[in-house]
Amino acid sequence: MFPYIENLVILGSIYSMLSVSLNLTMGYTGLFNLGHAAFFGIGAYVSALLALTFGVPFWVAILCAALFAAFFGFLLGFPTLRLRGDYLALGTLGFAFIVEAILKNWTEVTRGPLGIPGIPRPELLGFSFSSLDAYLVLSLAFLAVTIIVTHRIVNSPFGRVLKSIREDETAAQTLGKNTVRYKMIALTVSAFFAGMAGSLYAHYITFIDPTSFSFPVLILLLSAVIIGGMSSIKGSIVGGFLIILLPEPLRFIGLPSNLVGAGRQMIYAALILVILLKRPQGLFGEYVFRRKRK
Amino acid sequence: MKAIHIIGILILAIIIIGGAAVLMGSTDNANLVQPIKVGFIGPLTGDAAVYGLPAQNMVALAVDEINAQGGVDGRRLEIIYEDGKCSGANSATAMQKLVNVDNVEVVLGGFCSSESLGAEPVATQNKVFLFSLGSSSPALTGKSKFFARDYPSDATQGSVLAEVAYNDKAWRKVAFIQEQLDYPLGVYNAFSSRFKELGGVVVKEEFAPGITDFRSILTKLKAEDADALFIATQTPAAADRILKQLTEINWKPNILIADAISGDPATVQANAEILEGALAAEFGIDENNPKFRHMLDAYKNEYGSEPPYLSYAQIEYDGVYIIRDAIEAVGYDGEKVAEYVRNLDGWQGASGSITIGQNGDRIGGHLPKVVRDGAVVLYSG
Amino acid sequence: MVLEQLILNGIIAGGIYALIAIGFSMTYGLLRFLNLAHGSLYVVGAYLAYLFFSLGMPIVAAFILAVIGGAIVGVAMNYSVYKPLQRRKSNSLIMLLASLGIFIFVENLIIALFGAEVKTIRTGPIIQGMDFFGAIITQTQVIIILVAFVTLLIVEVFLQKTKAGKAMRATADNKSVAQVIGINVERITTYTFALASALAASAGVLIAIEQNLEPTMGLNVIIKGFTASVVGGLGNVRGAVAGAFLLGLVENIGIWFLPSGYKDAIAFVVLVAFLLFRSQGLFGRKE
Repeated sequence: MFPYIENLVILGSIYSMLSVSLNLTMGYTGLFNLGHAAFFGIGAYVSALLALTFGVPFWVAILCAALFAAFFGFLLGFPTLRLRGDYLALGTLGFAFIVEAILKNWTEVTRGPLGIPGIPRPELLGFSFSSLDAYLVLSLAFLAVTIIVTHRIVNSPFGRVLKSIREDETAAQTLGKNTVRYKMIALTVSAFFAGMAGSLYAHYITFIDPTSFSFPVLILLLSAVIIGGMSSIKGSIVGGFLIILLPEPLRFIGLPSNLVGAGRQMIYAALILVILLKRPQGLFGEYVFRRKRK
Repeated sequence: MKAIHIIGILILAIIIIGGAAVLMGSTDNANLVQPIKVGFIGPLTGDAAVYGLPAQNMVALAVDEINAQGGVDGRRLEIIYEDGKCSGANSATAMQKLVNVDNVEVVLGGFCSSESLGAEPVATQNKVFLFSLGSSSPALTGKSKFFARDYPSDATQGSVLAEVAYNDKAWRKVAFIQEQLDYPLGVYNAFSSRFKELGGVVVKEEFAPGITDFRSILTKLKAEDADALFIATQTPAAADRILKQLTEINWKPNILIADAISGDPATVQANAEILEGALAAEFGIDENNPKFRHMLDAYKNEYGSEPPYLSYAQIEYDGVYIIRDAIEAVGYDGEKVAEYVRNLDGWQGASGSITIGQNGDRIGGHLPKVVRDGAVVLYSG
Repeated sequence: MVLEQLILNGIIAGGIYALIAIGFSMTYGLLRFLNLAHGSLYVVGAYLAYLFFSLGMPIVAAFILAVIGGAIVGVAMNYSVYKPLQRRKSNSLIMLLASLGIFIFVENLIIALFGAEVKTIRTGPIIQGMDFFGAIITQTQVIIILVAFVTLLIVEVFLQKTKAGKAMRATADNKSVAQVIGINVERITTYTFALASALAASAGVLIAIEQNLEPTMGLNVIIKGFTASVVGGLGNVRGAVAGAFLLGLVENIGIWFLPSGYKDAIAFVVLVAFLLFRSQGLFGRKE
């Protein structure tokens, strides 16, 4: 029983890293970043390929994965951050799908749909993180780092500017802030941690393929941020764990077998709708959903 | 604040009910004449559910039969079904649950190769035997001593067809349309590497799963002026679309099809005209095998129709019985069952004589077949 | 020979995308959010037609009923989810997420009701296509093009000439002013949803007949739908139609030069390109 829970906590902490980093851009800065899953995937693939092709040790691989993802965040930022709201959403979504298409098609490097099996577990001075307990500690540690850094950013003067951009970008600009630069930094940092989460994921499951990072994953992440609450780190942590833990008890509720999968998704989607309809600020978030006056 | 109370209660309720179900499940261990619980991982939702749901049905059928005959060593056989969603990550989690919550020693699955690849590390680490009834990716060959499959690797499918195409038919250039999923890609790799080895040329166009309009892709391939067209899709439905659109654009090439397609009689029959003379390499079915016939009748009785994919159906049926025999022979222990199954030699089932090799793969591979009058028959040159 | 075929394929695809994109643009123009659940109406239309056809109805009757059914479902969606959200002045991100929730819910409901496998609506044996200026086209495809064009024409006339149509355009243009001049915005919203959903549903039925149906067919098509809308200019109905045909053509001709595996990605590249260089689309106004 306990290992089963450990497994869930490990996955929960990986997804929490993703939702906390996503919240940095969506919740605090008000950017509709629908491409987050792509950074997750990029981080995972970079880390896996470095480890398998070049024998790079995990600790270097995860850093490279995070930096690589951050770099892509930076690249994505250039063209898209000029766009407003909905257009930004579509642009980042387009980016995510393009990344997925590349992962699927560039078979020489990514092995396409065959995926990459046999990704090694991390090792440190001879100790291998192959047990669940060890990996649990590892992922919680990285989650802690993500939380601390994000917390620092958000509660600093930099973070206040981000919030002001969310509330009214034009006002922030008139006050002399180079809003594009701030948004860029937020996006890059957000991508950095998503890439980190990707590497953790790859070395945990030891097998990745393009479908692990596609559209349904995005939906999970958005749900985590929404349910937990926008611009609330605490909320995102809870949200990340919740989306991993929530479907699990549903496994045990005896639905007729052919309805199990679809039934679960339906309950899930219904929950999201209920939250959006009844309590849009989620569990811990701020109510940032008022339409702005044009 | 009423809404948050509602949501909170809902979430809490789900967790409590789930937790209760789990706890109730684990107190079962106190019972003496407890059933033998075996796990199952397969795609019960998503596109691959067209394979996963019939697989589930077939396994359930075999289990019912076994229990009616007295069970395994007098104990009831029970299967715990988990949805692998044709995804490595989901299967790994499903495997975790089966191993650590349900305490199974044997898991039937995965079906998709990605499921098997995802679940295998968990199986190996926990000394649980993972027995796949359908994964055909060459990447699984020799993966672990806790893994085996009573289905052969696609490596043989590709090479058999390549040899027939090059040597018998004297084709030198083959156009290939391949769905971007692991099984079709595996078939492509196996075929093209052998075909190129022999001296041929393969031109490939891929398509993403879910595409329904192939006309432009086919137009592009038609312009390649190849000697034949190889169609490799994950599901017969996709191939059906391709075949229909081939007719619609008036292209009637020599055709080779992957075994997921030839294994579906409905698709073959519906496209009998254009498939006349098409080549396939199958892990065949023997309609004269009495066990096979029995399986068909039983399935028809229980579910009202024939199982959709016969070559998988027979494997799934046999798989459950193999496990039954293994447990009766060596007891319900993952490691011992693994060793028993991996040393299987000449076990007679609905799918014929089963021998599992050192590398965990079923020995015996694929045979060349040809489509005649809407039916798949042995190829004789 | 090849080029003609690719162009024809592009036009057929474009027709379908146009039926989707119009509705998508309409609801965007009206409510200012990206209604991803629009793709669900496409699937609903297809499955309703399948249902009625299996019950023995002739295909034309099934088509009509499916389209009406789709309109009803679309209006129901608006009433149960979007209206309450609009009332509390939710921003477009929330509406987008809600539409995602609806999309997932509907897709899985269909799986639960009809099963996950691919289904077909067979109205006759497979016939070879006919020659058409060097390309080959089948009977069903001709019907699709005809139905698509006629529908687009009717919509155009409706929007330009009828009172209701003009009211819809006015409301989409500027809701507060429309209200001031006495337009019942709520009723117009309902009409808009009904029309948009009917169009999406009809596209679904056409594809169901010509190709197949499966529960997951909605995602792919809504992506093409919103790409076409962006290309034409979000909120601009005629632009959406133009964008749709443009997209269809670029997709089908594009794979001549690229590996076909990238076919869907072409839509995204087009989307991103427009967002970068001309986010108001071909015919939109810069806001």
